[in-house]
Amino acid sequence: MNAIEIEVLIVEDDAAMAELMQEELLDEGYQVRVVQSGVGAIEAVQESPPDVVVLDINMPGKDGIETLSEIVNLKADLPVILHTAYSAYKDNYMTWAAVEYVVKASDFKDLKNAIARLAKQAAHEKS
Amino acid sequence: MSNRRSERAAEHIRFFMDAYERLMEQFGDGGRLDWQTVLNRFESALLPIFEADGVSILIGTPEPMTAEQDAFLRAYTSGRIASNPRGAAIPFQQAPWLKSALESKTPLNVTDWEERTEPPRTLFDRELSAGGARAALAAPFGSLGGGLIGAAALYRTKPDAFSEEHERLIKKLSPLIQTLLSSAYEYNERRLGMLRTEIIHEVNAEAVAQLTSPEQLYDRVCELIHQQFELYDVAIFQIDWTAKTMSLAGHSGEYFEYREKNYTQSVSIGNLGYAARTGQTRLVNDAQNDPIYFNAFPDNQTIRSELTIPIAMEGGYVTAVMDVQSQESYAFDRYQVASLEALSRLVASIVQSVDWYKQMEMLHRLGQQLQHTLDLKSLYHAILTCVTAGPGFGFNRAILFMLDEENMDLEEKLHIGPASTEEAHRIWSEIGEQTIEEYLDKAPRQASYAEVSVADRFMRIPVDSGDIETLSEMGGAVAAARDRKTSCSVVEAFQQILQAEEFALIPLIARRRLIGVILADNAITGQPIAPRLLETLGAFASQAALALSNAQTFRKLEVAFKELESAKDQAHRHERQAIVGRLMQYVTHEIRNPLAVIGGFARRILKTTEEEETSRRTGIIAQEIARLEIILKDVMDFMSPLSLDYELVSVEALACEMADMIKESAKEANVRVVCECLEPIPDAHLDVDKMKQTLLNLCKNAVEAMPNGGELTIRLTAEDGYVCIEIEDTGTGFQSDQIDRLFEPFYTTKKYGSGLGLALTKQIIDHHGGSIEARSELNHGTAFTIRLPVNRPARKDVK
Repeated sequence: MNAIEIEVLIVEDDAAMAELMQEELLDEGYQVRVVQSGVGAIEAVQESPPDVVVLDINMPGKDGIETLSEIVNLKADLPVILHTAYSAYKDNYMTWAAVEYVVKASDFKDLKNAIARLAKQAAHEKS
Repeated sequence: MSNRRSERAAEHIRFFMDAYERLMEQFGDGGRLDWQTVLNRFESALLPIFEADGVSILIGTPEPMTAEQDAFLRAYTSGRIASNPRGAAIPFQQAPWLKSALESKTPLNVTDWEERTEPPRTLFDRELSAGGARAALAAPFGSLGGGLIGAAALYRTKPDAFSEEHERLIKKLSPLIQTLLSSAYEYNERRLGMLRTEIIHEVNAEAVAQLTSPEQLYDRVCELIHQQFELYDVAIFQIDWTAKTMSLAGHSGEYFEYREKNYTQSVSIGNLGYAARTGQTRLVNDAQNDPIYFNAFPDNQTIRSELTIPIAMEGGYVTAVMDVQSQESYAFDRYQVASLEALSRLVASIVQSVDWYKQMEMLHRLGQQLQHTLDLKSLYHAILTCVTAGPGFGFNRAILFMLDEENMDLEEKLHIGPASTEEAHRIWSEIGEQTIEEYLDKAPRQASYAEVSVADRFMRIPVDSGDIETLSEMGGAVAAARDRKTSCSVVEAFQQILQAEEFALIPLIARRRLIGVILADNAITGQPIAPRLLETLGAFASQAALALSNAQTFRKLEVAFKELESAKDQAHRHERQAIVGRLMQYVTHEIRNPLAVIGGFARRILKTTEEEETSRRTGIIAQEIARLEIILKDVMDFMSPLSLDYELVSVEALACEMADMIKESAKEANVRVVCECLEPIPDAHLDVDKMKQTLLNLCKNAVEAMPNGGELTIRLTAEDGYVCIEIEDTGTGFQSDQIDRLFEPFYTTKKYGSGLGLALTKQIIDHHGGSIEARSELNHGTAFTIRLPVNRPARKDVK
């Protein structure tokens, strides 16, 4: 679908949600990698930085906010989308480090729009 | 011849000795020496010696008492010839024979009464004739003391009855008779002095301690005067200046049978009225022919003399009139008049003392009562009631101002006073003879008394620091006159308000600070304000001021305490709200995740299935989940604390962005989006995200309101400091009763709405310091107008 391959890293501890997201994003033509924890996310970024990270906030162990701050430390220009069931955002100043904040919804419309905007930028930078 | 002469001389001496012994016998033991007793004793001593049929004592003063009135002698006559034992007054001008006898100081021998030719014949002459007197022998005296002169007269029913021997004898007896009459005069003077002492004693012993009303004192005074002066009738009338009447307050004497309870007459009639109005004593000697004399009891025509003496308080205010009546004409000589006047002054000063004593006592009780009242309104009422009530200071009207230091003015808190004279009478008669405590208990119920107005209610009089200083330094209550020039503008303002001839200005000073002012006047009765009353008022004012100051302090404390209480309540409420909020967030999060998964998979199935029934059913699942998600989102947004992040943005750009964002879904619904902007729109301080959410919400609603297509207009206008964003559709519209409820939380007209969208919209706009209004016409469309301030609202964001 996209001329340039865009890789999305999904960080989601809920397996069903992760599976669903993966299917939806694959449908959109993105390359998708899935990890189920914050630690996994850091490793994945260190190993091979994706183009976009979709990060769940509420996770056991290292949560999304903590993970975000580490990702920012590792790779400041890596766009991260916080993907969460919480409505209230901007409560924690660290959430400002994320480029987008998307509330989980069954249609994944907001998420897809957000990724599309970032993908456009990434493609622009890559080309 | 010599024998005969010596015989006559011896007879003369025997005569004299006999008379002397008889007189000494009569007077030697002292005892009562009032004029009647003296007369009786003369009768016993002299009648046998002179073989007379009657005797008179004539006492009087050669100077007239008043310009209109003759000097006169009063005659006490006894014996057979006395047709009127108490005798009559003999005006000097009408009795030249007596006058010449008194002036020549030689005995006068009237040989035949009937042949006397000198006109005119006095009433006394006529009375003597009627009694059968034909001959008279009168011995005049010089001064008896106190300027009195007099004569003793003997009468016989035969002409030429008195011999030269009789003349010589009476001349010889004259010094003795004069001495006896002088003693009688002194006795009478002493008795008067004792009467005064007795009244003072009675009053001092009883009045202050026991007498509750001046009436009781008046009764006792009348009784004493009646007894001591042996008068026909003595009464005291109390004046009611507001009703212009005077009513019987004290009485003793012959009118007893006529006396009716509360006998009242107008102050405009009679000698009583004259004394009341002029403050002058009036003496009538020939009552039945007097132009002013008024007979209250027409079936009793026997009154000849009437004496009315005002009982005047300090400052000349006549509170009562003493009325003394006699069946004799010329019944009162100047000494009696002077004595009764002195008694009136005594009574007045006693009444006043009793008043003051009562006032001081009342003040003491009130002071204690006031200090126990902490409610300001009750205090205002109690204080003004004291100033106006009859048992208190008795002013007609009073106004209480409190100083408002913040606004620098005197704010009226309460005024009390009848609007008209008629109302005053009604109220005062209702109040009657209550004690101040009784009255205070009832006062709050007598609303009409407090509510009538002297001017517009609750006026404010501006003051400057100079006014405050002037009022603070007055040093107590003062009387201010209407026409007096004043350099103090606030006093001038008071004069303007009251329009009274005279008013009391009572500064309220507590802890050396002016806290207010009371004004009081007697606009209705015109009663002057006595200096002593002002002194008492001053003392009252300092107690009142202290009570008010305490109540003010208490009130401040009370307010502070209430604020603290409500802050505590609010803190509790906030805490609970915060807990509910966190709970909601938790629940939402826990629901939203699985919802997204369920809904998401439903959509996946929907996308991939070929099976029609499966497709329909999973479609329903996806739709229902979507609805739940919207509700959850709205509820969460509404519940979340709203904190705004202002930035200066272009409203025009924002509107265009909205138009772009909605365009796609609008197109699907066959809705044309128009962005109208006909004038330069200033940038505004807004929370961009929240405002986007708000506008988008309204735009979505608009599109949804046009299921059959239409036009959505986003219109921008600017007005002084504000930006207006109007979002108008040509959709279904609302009924007017729906419009009113649109912004209520949980009110919805949509099948899938949470009812929170517009409530949240309004919340956000309110937080921006703006406003939102909706107008709609059913089937023609709806327009929402948002008005936002260009500058960030000063109010801190409400958490």
